[in-house]
Amino acid sequence: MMKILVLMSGGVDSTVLLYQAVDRVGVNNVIALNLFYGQKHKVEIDSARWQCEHLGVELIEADLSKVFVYNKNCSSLLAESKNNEISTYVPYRNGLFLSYACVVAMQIGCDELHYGANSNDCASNIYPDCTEEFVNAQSWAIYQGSGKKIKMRAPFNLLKKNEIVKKGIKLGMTKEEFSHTWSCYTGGEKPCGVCSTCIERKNAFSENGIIGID
Amino acid sequence: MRNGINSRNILKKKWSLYGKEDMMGKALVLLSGGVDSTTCLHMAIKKYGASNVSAFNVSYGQKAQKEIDCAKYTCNKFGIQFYEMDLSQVFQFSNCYIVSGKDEIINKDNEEQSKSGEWSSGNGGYVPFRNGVFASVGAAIAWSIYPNEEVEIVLGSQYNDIFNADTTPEFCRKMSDAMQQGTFGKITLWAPISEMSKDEVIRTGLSLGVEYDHTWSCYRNSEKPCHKCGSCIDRENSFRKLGLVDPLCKE
Repeated sequence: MMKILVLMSGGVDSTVLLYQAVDRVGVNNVIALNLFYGQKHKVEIDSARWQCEHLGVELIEADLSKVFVYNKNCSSLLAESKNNEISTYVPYRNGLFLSYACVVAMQIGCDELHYGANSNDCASNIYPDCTEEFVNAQSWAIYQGSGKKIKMRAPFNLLKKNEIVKKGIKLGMTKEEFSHTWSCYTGGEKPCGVCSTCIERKNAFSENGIIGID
Repeated sequence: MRNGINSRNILKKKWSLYGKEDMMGKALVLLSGGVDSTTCLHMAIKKYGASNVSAFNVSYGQKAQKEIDCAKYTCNKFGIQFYEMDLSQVFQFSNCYIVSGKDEIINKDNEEQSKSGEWSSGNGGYVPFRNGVFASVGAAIAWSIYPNEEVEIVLGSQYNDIFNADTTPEFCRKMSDAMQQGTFGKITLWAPISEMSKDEVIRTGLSLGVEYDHTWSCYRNSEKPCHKCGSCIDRENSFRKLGLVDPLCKE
């Protein structure tokens, strides 16, 4: 049976991706990988843990925050950041995540690596490491560099957030399961409700008739 | 973490021997302290000038501390900043023997191992896809230390290593594409020795003044090279092909 490694942040997109992988190949053939990069919003790791425990999926966690120590003054997402500007680009973070995920996938014998970039991320130029061009280039690099063993897939890269939520509902995800996902960029106990990702998330839920989740 | 700033002035003069310092952009070289990466550092210096070059090292639990000492020596010599990053914890999955914790070092040359399939499984001397991670780490560091500049990440993967999928020229091209796409077109990968044999690398290095007695290749961490591991055999053979004796073998 095919084995899938899912890059799992704990946000909505990667959570639906995890449910989809489990639906395809069964819980025993899916492994989730959560990577810490020094972000303020550690709550999303709790979400990833909750989901994996809930589904019975093995979760691997690794800390890559050392790589970004020289970046203190650049990205406002990092806990160490002194920057108040809206600059949420963490340099080449997703590229590093995917490359590291490929190492893990090879070590544990996975065939596919799933990445939850969505079309909003892909279309915007805010995050160059989410674009379709990047996804294509990175998947080629992974395919070549793994001796053609690992196929990287970003199955949501043409879907909008509301379509991803819809997909989750189709896979049987309940309101409670959706509530254990985290999107907000701020480091609070509860989502701020006003940042771009909070608003996008709320709209995606309400368009699918899910009311009452922050 | 930042070594040898004071030796920069002394060396400025020496640099004119190697080339002009008028190439635009910067280079960040993955420097292990071995033959290949030390040669690449010299190639980057020739292309960009020493003041536009930095080096970084990713340790993932390798045995040879000697290698790092060699890397530091070379950086000191040219007044180059050296960024060290310990990622041994995140490479804990590896069961390959370069990484500490496994004792047996296999006394075969690299090619022999590749034929027997020990490499591809990840159980040989190689962490699969590690170059993908190193290049990505380089991109992340380069963005931070050279904001808004065009940077080449220099990787010393080399023809002799061709049986490792993440060292092929094909991989380097694809990886460079990905890095460029993922960094607003600022950062690319340069693998200057990817299509050279090791003796060609050494010949190039000698013409650039590389001090090979200050490079380390042996997988073991003793005072002198073991002359038995695949890495030692490769290195010594390459010097021999040029009609030379490896300076580390001279008494």
